[in-house]
Amino acid sequence: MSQTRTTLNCHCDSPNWGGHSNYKSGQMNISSTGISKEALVSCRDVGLVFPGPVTALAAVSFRLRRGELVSIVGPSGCGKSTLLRLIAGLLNPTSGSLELTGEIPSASGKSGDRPDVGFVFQDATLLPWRSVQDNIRLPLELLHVPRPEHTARIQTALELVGLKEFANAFPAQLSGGMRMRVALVRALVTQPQLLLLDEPFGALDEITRQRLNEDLLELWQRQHWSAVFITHNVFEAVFLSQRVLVMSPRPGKIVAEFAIPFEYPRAPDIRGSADFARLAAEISLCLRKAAT
Amino acid sequence: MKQIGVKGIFFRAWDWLAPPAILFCMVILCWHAVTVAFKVPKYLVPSPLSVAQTMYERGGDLSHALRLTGTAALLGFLCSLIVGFVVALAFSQSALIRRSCYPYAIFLQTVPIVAIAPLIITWFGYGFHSVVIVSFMISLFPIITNTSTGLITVDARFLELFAIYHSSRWQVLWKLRVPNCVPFLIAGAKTSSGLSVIGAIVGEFFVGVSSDWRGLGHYISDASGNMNTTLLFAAVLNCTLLGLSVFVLVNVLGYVVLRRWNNPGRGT
Ligand SMILES: Nc1ncnc2c1ncn2[C@@H]1O[C@H](COP(=O)(O)OP(=O)(O)OP(=O)(O)O)[C@@H](O)[C@H]1O
Ligand SMILES: [Mg+2]
Repeated sequence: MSQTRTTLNCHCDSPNWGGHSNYKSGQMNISSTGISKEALVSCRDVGLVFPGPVTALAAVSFRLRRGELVSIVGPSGCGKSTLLRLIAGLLNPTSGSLELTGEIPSASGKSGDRPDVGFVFQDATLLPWRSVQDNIRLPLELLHVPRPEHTARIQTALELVGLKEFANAFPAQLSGGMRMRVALVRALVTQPQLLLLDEPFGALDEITRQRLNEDLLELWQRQHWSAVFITHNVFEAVFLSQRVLVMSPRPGKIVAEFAIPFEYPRAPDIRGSADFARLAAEISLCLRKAAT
Repeated sequence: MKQIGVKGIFFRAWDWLAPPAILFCMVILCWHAVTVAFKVPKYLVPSPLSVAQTMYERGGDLSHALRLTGTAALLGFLCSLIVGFVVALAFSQSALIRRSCYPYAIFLQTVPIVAIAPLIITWFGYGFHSVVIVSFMISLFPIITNTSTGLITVDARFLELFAIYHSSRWQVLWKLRVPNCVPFLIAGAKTSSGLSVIGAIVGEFFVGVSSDWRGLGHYISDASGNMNTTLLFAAVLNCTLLGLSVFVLVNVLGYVVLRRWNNPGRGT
């Protein structure tokens, strides 16, 4: 695992993406982004072998600090979804150790335990027979949150993503982007500390994707959760996250790590900046090298 | 967001009813023309007029029979809905139960009902109970298979979603599996409703002409014994009417329930 490379030397002298340049290379403004040193997720040499045997993951190590937003990119089939399932406690690692704020996540948690994670799947995964508000209500029901609290929480959630007038619509009546927004606030309605997103915007068109990226960042800045964001899209990864991890083909491991030094709040037009383009190109190149 | 109102349902009903009604009238006209033109004897093919006349003259008997058969069929159908659903619930909860019981469910489907109907009558008497039971047995299988499929084939991602919130088996069953199976249950009910009418009539054949239970099956069996073809036609027509109304009832109910499941509003 000595391959891990941290790119910190980003020369950000072009002022066209927000203007702030009050940081030095390699330093992130911790107070403004709410990151603490405390690890929320720590994976140590996590491996997973499916019966077959298929080695999906070989010795993955990384730490996610509280309040951090980390993206993972990697070739298709390298085990990104598997890693996310492990963090969510839907699978157990066959080797190594995985801890979530000191606890080992497990699929056999007792009913009624308050989970610390929210999960957003690639497609919205809304129950087609439930209206938008009832879909958002589902986690509250499953966790036995008292009924009187539901209305206020659902209202807040709908307002956050501007879907108030669609409270009674059914998923099939919404556009793909709207459905994804519902899935996003459904995952957030239980106020989790950790949000896991598995290529959530992969099926959307470019404009909708960018809009949702901006919405996601706004939510993150307001609510102070941490997130692991999986994507195929390097630009999305750079725009959103503080760190981008690159995975190798199966058996997956983390081969490189890039720090993204842009300040939050990130203006939409930083996507056009030279630094942004260079970082994205560098990550793409690394990804291509990893894939061959 | 547009929902189809009551008026809309009527217009739809008209769209659905008009073409078969017109076809019906044309067939009746042809039938009449053929019986008159070729002077077909009444005991072979009675003319529609004489069938109508018998329907009118024996109206009391036939409508009473229609009520009896209808009651038995509906009861049999309801029983198979309830029992089929409960059996499917049990199947969905345990692969062991499913594996041990499924062969017997198939037995129910493949054994010719005529072979066991006499047995049922020996056990449950020459009347109402036996008729309902035969109707129930014939209409049970589609409910079991369809509902089980709906309960078992749940999208794996939904299961993961529920697992993330540490849902109990019970929550997965009532909030995921049961709603998921509703369209399947309704598809099964459509098949079953028709079968339940057939079952009731077959049951009535077997309880015999001497029984107090004088349903449509009784008249069919009686009329064919006496070569009273006109009465036979009238009784068969009543059976068709019964089957059709049960089918329409289930379809309308299914349509209303499924509006939620069938992606309402988009494009329609
Ligand atoms: N339940 C399973 N049993 C056996 N093998 C599996 C199972 N789930 C995943 N795999 C294998 O593990 C590997 C990693 O799968 P995973 O879904 O994590 O990939 P991914 O990186 O998310 O790919 P993509 O980008 O296409 O979503 C794949 O080769 C897949 O075939
Ligand atoms: Mg995946």
